[in-house]
Amino acid sequence: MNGEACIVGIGETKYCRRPGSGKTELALQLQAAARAINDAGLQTSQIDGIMPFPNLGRAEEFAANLGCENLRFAATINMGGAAPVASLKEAAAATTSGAADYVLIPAGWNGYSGSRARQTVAKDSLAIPGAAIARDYYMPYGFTAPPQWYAVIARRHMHEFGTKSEHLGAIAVAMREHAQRNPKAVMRGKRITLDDYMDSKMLCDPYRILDCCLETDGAAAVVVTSAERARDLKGKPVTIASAAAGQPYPADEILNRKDLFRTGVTIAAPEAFGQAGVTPRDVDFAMIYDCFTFEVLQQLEECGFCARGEGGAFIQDVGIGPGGDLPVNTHGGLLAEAHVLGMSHIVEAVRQLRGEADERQVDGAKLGIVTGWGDFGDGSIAVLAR
Amino acid sequence: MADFLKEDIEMLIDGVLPWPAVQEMMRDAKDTDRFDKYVEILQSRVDFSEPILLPLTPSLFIVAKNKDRVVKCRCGHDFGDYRINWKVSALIYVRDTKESIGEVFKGREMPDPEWCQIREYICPGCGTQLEVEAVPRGCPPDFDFLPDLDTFYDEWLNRPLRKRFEYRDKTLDEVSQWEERTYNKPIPVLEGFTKQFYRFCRKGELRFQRCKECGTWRHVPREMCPECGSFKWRWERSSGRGTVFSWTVAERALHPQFADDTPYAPTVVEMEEGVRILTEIVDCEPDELEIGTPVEVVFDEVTNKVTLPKFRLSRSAIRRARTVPVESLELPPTIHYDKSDRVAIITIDRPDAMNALTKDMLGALDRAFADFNDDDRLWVAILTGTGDRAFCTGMDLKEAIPLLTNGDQLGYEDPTKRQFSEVYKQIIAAINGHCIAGGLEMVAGTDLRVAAENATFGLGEVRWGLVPAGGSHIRIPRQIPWVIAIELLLTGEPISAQRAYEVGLVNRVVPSSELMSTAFDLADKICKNGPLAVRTSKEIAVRALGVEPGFVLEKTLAKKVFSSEDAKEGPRAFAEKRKPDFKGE
Repeated sequence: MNGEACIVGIGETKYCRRPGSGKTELALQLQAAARAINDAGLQTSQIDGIMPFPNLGRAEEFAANLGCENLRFAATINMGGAAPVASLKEAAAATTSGAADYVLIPAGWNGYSGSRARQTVAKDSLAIPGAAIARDYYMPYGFTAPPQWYAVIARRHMHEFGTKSEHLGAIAVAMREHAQRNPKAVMRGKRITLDDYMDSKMLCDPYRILDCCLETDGAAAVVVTSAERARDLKGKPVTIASAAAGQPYPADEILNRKDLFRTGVTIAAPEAFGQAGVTPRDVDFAMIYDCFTFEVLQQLEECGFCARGEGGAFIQDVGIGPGGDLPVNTHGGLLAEAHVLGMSHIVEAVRQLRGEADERQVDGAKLGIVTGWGDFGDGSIAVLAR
Repeated sequence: MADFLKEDIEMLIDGVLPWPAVQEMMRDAKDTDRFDKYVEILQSRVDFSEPILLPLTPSLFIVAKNKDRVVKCRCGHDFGDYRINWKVSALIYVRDTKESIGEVFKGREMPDPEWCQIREYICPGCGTQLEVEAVPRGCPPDFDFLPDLDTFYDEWLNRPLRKRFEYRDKTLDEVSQWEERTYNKPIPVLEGFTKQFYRFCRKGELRFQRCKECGTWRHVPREMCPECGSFKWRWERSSGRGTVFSWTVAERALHPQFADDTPYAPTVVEMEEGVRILTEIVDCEPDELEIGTPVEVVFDEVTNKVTLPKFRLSRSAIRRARTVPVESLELPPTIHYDKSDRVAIITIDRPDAMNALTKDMLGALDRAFADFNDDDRLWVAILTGTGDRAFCTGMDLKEAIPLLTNGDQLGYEDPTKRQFSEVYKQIIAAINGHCIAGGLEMVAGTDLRVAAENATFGLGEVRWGLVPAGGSHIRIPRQIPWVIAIELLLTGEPISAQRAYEVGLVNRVVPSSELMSTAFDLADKICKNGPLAVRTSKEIAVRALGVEPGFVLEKTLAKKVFSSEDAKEGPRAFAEKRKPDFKGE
């Protein structure tokens, strides 16, 4: 790469559940995209690269609506919720190599009001790489949806390392605490205690309802360009110090892995930290893709914040809530802010590094990470710096 | 009014009663117990024990089964509630073409297949043709006879049946449920590898791909071996055994078709071959699951095309996992003594010597059984051996030959006692392989016996110039027919497990994998009964045999044999692997 790439624009719609956004998924994403482009101080016509989220629109549609007359780079990373962060890596490569000047990465959906969230579980095929395997070998037994797939992994972690429901509860509580400081968070005003968590309904043991991410409507987007071009723009650029992605093995089947806890981020994290020349100890915050509580714990372990098996103790000792030594998901994450497919994690990291996070600002935040998680454990991670 | 003998009725049923007698029978009023005689004869001719309430046809009967009244074929096949036309659950062969009808009717006799079809109703249990009807096409199966059983018993036999049933044709109720039973959960798409995998399941076989080059098993199916890159593989049969690896309990379904199943537990099973499979554990509440619990495959035909492999808890293995070894008796490593609830498990563990017993082991067995006898918490013992070759092949001849050739008779100080003579608690023998010589002598002292299919039974002593003096001469002839007992004693030839079952030497013959679970099933059945009653019952039965004089006689006469020259020559020949040269002295 010729120098570094930066995130120069962020944009979001409002996040909501009932009664729903009232917009199409494309319209939502265009709104967020327009705000991100505006935030960067760019004209929409200057966007010449677009990286849509898998199955949520095509670059052509975005370009035609936004008026991107010079589109020359279009790609989608097929990693589900790991796609936005993985796209940062490709966007950085594209903008520093000259393949594109300004790359837009949008994501958004009507996860609450649209049919997609519920349809995913009602129809007999899934929009994931292992769809046929799931259809032929999982779904006949009612093993039909992500919380169930990951619950069996969480149970193994509990069995092998003594991880407890209380550890998962601590994550759920911390995410809610963060959300109380975020005006955009759907769960603002709805604090929970560990007792509330323990009393909440079991969904798929060991996952309770409060272990699971929200279903919401909303979209977010970022704009990436090279550091060189960023200098000419009005805002404070946030540097993509490194970004990496990886897949578990095998990636299309979740049960026959020799090492059940080795997921995409296990491969990606050493690469990202190595390239950035930093260690987990150096970061001021972590935005961890929190589809379910256990996945937060697992990614903290696999990223190297603590040894494998020690995630439960790490969360309790270090503190991941507001004021903790490692604030995780200061916006509240998928568990308490909104489910924006991981894009709002990037937006929040940028806000923290710009020092624009208001009452939830991490003091002196200079370095942070953001991860993505998708499908059967695909992973991505970016190290971002002020 | 004539009184007919049972023999007359029997001849009537068989159609061999002379015509004048038939006429006489028809002319007169029925004798009052005619029906009962009739039913008694029929009852003796069917292959089931439930009482016949009324014969329907020469092959079909309404019988009282627990609280229900069902239609049964004479072979025992159950067609369900007698108010539902049994024909809807029979196999039906339909002749509706010229060719097929032509096989039955020739020429002008032949009905026109345009308007007529012939249906043959066949028993799914035994293949007997039960009924034939010639009806217009599309006509529902004719419900030939729905008797008003309660009125018949009330008013004709004057002895009402205990429970009363609504007198109504329920065939349509049954048929209307067929549609509801349609399977609507997701099923695999049977293409490519998936088609092959599930086709084996259809045949009751769980098979996984296994690399032909490096031997690695894999699941789910793939084109290549990810370990060695080979494209060569075969579908290899799995043992069907595994352990619970993980699971989740779906308290709320995330797929509409599973809504009625909650809570249900999608479970990951790790097979003995190393691959993991997502499945369901049947007949198991989610809170009974534990990581590591042994399970075994069963097959669930969910549609007429798809059979899903599911699993059930492997009972014997769970029991073994729950057993507590008894260490206080300081038994040798070749004898295990474990306790599991009310059941003691005593295991001979010397498979590399065909579970032959040394004097030391014999003493240990006695100590274990004495402890079992004295421990009030224990009600039943299971005696078994390790491995799948031998249960017990008697005394270890390496050790015993010098003793025998010195005239030592090995044990039984009290000539009126033999092994287990004083154990009045139940002993179940789980015979996992060869049960020979002292092994069979020991089994003769047990109560219930389950044998693996590969087990054999024999008393080979006479082949080596010896006699089985451990009580076999007295016990065996009292347990099985004389000629079989004598054949065992005098020829020294072993018999198969199946033969042992046929002659009544064992209660059950089962596949090896089901041996222990069958033994535990029997143990559990006994443990449900009053322990004092069970024990006393055995004591009466055993003591009433009065075997003691026989035992004394055996000991006395056997001495003559054991001190003979032949008794030295036989074991010597055995040790030297040659034919013995007997002198008869």
